[in-house]
Amino acid sequence: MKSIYYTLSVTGKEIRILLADRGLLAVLLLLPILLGSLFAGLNLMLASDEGDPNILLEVILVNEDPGNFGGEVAKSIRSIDELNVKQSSSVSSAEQRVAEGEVAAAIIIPADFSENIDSYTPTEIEVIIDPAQAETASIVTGIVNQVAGEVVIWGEIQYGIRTIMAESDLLAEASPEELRGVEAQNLGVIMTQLNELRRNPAIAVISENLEGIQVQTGIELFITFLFPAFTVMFIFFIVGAESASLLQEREAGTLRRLLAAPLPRWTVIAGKMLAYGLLVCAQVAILFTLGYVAFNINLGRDPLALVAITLAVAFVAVSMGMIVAAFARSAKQADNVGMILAFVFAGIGGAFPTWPPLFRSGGLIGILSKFTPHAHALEGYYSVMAENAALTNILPQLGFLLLMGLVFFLIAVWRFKFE
Amino acid sequence: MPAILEVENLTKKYGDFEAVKGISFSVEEGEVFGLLGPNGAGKTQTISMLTGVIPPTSGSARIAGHDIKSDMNEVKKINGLVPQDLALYPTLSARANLNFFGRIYGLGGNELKERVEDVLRIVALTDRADQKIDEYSGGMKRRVNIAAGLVHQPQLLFLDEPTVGVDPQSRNHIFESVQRLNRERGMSVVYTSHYMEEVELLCNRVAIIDEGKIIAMDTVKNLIGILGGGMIYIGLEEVDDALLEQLTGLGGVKEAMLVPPPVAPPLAEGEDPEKETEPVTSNPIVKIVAENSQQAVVNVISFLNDQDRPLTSLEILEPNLESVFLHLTGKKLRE
Repeated sequence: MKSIYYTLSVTGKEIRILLADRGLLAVLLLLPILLGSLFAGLNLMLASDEGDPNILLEVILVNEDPGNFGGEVAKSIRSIDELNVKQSSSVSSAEQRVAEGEVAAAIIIPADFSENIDSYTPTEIEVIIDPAQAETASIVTGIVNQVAGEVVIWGEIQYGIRTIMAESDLLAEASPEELRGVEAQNLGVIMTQLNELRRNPAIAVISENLEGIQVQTGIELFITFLFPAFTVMFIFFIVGAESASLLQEREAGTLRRLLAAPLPRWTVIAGKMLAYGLLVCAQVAILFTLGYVAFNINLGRDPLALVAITLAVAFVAVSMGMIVAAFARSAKQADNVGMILAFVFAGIGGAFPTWPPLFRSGGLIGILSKFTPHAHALEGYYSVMAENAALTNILPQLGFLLLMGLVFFLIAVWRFKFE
Repeated sequence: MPAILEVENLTKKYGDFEAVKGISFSVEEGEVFGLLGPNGAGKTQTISMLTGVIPPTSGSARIAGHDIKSDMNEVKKINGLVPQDLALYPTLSARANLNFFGRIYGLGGNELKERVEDVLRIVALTDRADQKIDEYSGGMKRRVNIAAGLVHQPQLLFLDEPTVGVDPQSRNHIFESVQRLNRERGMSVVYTSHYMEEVELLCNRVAIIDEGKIIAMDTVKNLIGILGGGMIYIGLEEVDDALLEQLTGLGGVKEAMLVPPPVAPPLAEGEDPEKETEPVTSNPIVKIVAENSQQAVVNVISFLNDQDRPLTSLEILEPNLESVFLHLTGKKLRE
């Protein structure tokens, strides 16, 4: 119990020192927040620009249909962002403007459009294309087909309702107003169910990996990788700070004072490691919360897996700090070596956000990355967050990180000179 | 009085280099004991062994009856250490530092709070206890450094060069604190310094240590008594045995001997390398141990004038620990 008290006393002191070091906190917390937000924001913006077809076709719309269906189609066409729709009342005028190249196409809704749908007679919407702008034909035709399809479904359903009512003789005695009311009621119910099915389809198409785990795709996937990548990169920035802090204690003489006190030596090291481990957990919590709140990153389906990989990477980072302290000659040297290691390992291990992730790529660099804790930490985070992996799926990464941390720790204990 | 500290043949070796060469001494309960010697003499190494910072190579020591090899955990609770360095956390306040140094001795709760307030009173820093160490003057830092060694109320306090780089006012305050702790609380103190004035002022007994060995140990009065009435160093162009005999026979002179020219002590860390250790003069130097320095000076100068032997240098040293150290080692404690 005394040892736990001593360890926590050292941890408490270390946390106070860390909280007073605003420069270090800015590097470890603020910088990854800024970089993460900046990269995620920029990538989302670029993706959004790429996703915008940037097509603005000028078309002319002639709606000759006095019925409901013509009006619905015209309304839908006008609401499409990619089309700049101009109205015209005359087909010949529209044809003239297409011929003169003033507009890319003319969409003509014939006068009997609604009537034909009502009577279940085939009908058509005419699209007149400027031959000089042939490439726009398929675009406009596709858009009109999409719009008309909705109306056609509506017409089909309406026709079906009428046929059933007419053939069943159930409403033979009903007045025309009552018939329209029943028809509208049935149509409303069916369309509502149809829309609900569209939102939550009975058969959905999803992307899965080979293990049958649902995966994200596109820019969301990259953003979900980007946050752990920056987090892992900045976690290892504590290596220099932690090792320098231990050596500063030796240089300043406080370590000597601790050695003269009745606390076991290991509690001095354990207390310091615990403080920096908690700092790593704070880094992860802050950055992932930011990613989740501001960029809607997926945190996976197994929080325990996320906690386990965080604790494992914290252990390996603080142990790496100790091994640097064991071999460095001065606090300044330890700080510099720690910083260099953090950058080099981040580069080799794939913590600089590239796509596809370095640790998933083949070749020499892919193999090299496997020798860094970064690659295994990122593989773990990526599997949990982007591929919804569970704790059992990331046991190899956890094992590697813990083993690496243990080796670093034992070498550090063996080599470190308190005096 | 029983001994709180008994040291026997304590040795520390680093490879072939022997930093502490089998020293033995004891400190009585309630005594202020001085370890006087130049930088690198082995004082800090000795304290480090006695406080459990480093293990001794051989020899033994007992503190309040506990062996430092087999019972170090108990020894550590009895000891208090004030290291030569400012062993504090500069970005924390004095109170936060003292709280931490109390906790690592197992203190907590109200007891810790009371002890911290007590030591802040002792070093007169209660009013500024919540200020960061970084914002303190050098003297105030030294006082907190001492307070950190006192917070667990040790029976035996090791003060390792506690006044290095301290202004006169803070130095006096440190002296008063040490005297008060000893007088009012009966605290035993081992005080190391290369300032002979401090040791003369504070210590009941002194061990003079040089090159890892204790070369003299006694009360300050008895050590100074070795020199009688002081020492006179005279530089001459030529010296022979007959002259030394004649000088020894003069009134007020106890002994005259040829000595190598005195040299400056080893450089302290950060000192100007230009002041490298080197002889003060190339002429032969005669050391005269005086029974009465005034009478001896008059007689020696008259005699040399009569002999037509010109003086190349003359230095008269009052009897104190500095001149005792010079007498015993041929080296100065410090410039």
